Amino acid sequence: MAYTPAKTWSDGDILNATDVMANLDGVKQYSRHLETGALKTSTPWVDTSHVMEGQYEPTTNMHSMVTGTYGGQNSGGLFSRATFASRWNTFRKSYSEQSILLPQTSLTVDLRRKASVFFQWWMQVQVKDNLTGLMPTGSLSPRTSFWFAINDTVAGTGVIQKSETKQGVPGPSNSKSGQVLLDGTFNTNGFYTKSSTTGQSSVGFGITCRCTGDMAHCLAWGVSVEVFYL
Amino acid sequence: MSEIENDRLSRASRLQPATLNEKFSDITAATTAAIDGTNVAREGIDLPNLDTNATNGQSDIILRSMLSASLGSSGPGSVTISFSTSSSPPAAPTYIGNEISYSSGISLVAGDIIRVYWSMNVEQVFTPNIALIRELWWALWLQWDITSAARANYTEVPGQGNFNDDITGAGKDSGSDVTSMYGCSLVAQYIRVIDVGATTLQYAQAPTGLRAQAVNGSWYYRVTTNTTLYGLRMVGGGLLYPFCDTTGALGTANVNYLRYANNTTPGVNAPQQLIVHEGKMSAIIMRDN
Repeated sequence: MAYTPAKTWSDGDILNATDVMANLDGVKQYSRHLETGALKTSTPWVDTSHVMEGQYEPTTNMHSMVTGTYGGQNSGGLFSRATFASRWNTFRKSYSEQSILLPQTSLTVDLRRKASVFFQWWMQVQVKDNLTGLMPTGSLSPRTSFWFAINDTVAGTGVIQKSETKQGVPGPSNSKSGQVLLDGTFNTNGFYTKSSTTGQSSVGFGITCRCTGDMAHCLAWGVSVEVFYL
Repeated sequence: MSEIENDRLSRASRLQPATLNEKFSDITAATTAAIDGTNVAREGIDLPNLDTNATNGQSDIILRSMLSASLGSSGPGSVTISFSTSSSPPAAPTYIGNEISYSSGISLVAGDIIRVYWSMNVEQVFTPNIALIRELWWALWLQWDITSAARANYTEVPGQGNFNDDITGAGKDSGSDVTSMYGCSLVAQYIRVIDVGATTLQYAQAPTGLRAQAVNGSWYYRVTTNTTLYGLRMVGGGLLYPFCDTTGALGTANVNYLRYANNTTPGVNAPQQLIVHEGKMSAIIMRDN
């Protein structure tokens, strides 16, 4: 619907300041809230020059665009950014399992609008010796597990691990120094989708891990996040 | 041209109603389905100007749909795929619930992009038979239903065979050309294990802690013709063995296939199972126009 002036003058009308101001105020209000009917829709007219330019944050490798936010991290060259899981940091007390965030694999995103989020990771894990022989009660052999997790700092919910995204990696038998497979390596890959109804919040996406063995080297890995606003 | 061109009032002329009204009627004319690029500055459109979806950002501009489903359920033994001991497999593939359903269908137009991802944990079950061992595989593959909302007509997605198409017929082990496996993950049934200190390589059923392994895969597809998608699901089948048709007896020479094993295939000794649990599938549909 087009703008409609509050006052239309006719011959003999008195020109009042209030009528003029009412019409001008109407223009101001209308210009701040254009209605659908005012837009020309017969031909597309928005091109890339009209859309706000995106921003790139090189430290976190994140692109923030009008359409969404996209970015990720990876391990770089071999051994340059390896990370790890171990029972020495996931079993903080004797026989008490605790998942922790896998170092370096989390991303923090400012969701500017209601959005759909897609997070995915891939990882090559090398499971090595298990020489200490100290296994949690009930464990038949060491295992390392990875999950997708959300850390909603605004909601204050802390790290929430999504059980259905579990990716398990086996380890060698108790007290054995050999590797499970001949090369001791496994591939994992996971993803998670989430619709966010709370825009403009700072949300962390990442991988949690839990390990009952001595060490699981995450030699090569990558994480990425895609946020769709449109 | 919707730009508003508004001349100044003349100080030397008497103010007429029509002249004054024109100052505002010009705006009315310009805002009657006429605002276009000439009214918008460079980089003048940002998120607040756009009519985004109220709950999830799926506005059909970039993202059309993003859905997920759990495969199996938490814990072992959720979905079991069993090898058929029939002499003429294959058995119908085993459905790995749950499906991703588009209850009333989602209309896909040419150019739309479908991205499907899946991950799950699997355990192989078999009775070791070292003497007769050979390479055997399970396949987990993707199907879609583009027929009706009843979702009773699942078929393989484009680029994926059902292992009963490229080779089929009486007296033949059915199979698919390995180039028809775009939406498929393969799982080796046997793991080669070496114990510490041992010098002999063994094929054996993996120890309990070793059995559950991660499997994952993905399928990307650019829609070529308009259609309606009602559902996506994963199925599994096997056992399969690799075969190279060196002579062209089945068609073209030197084509590689994966074929269904039968109960006389060396290395097959029932029971042979693949247990699938703790899995997840997600489908993203994007628009490219």
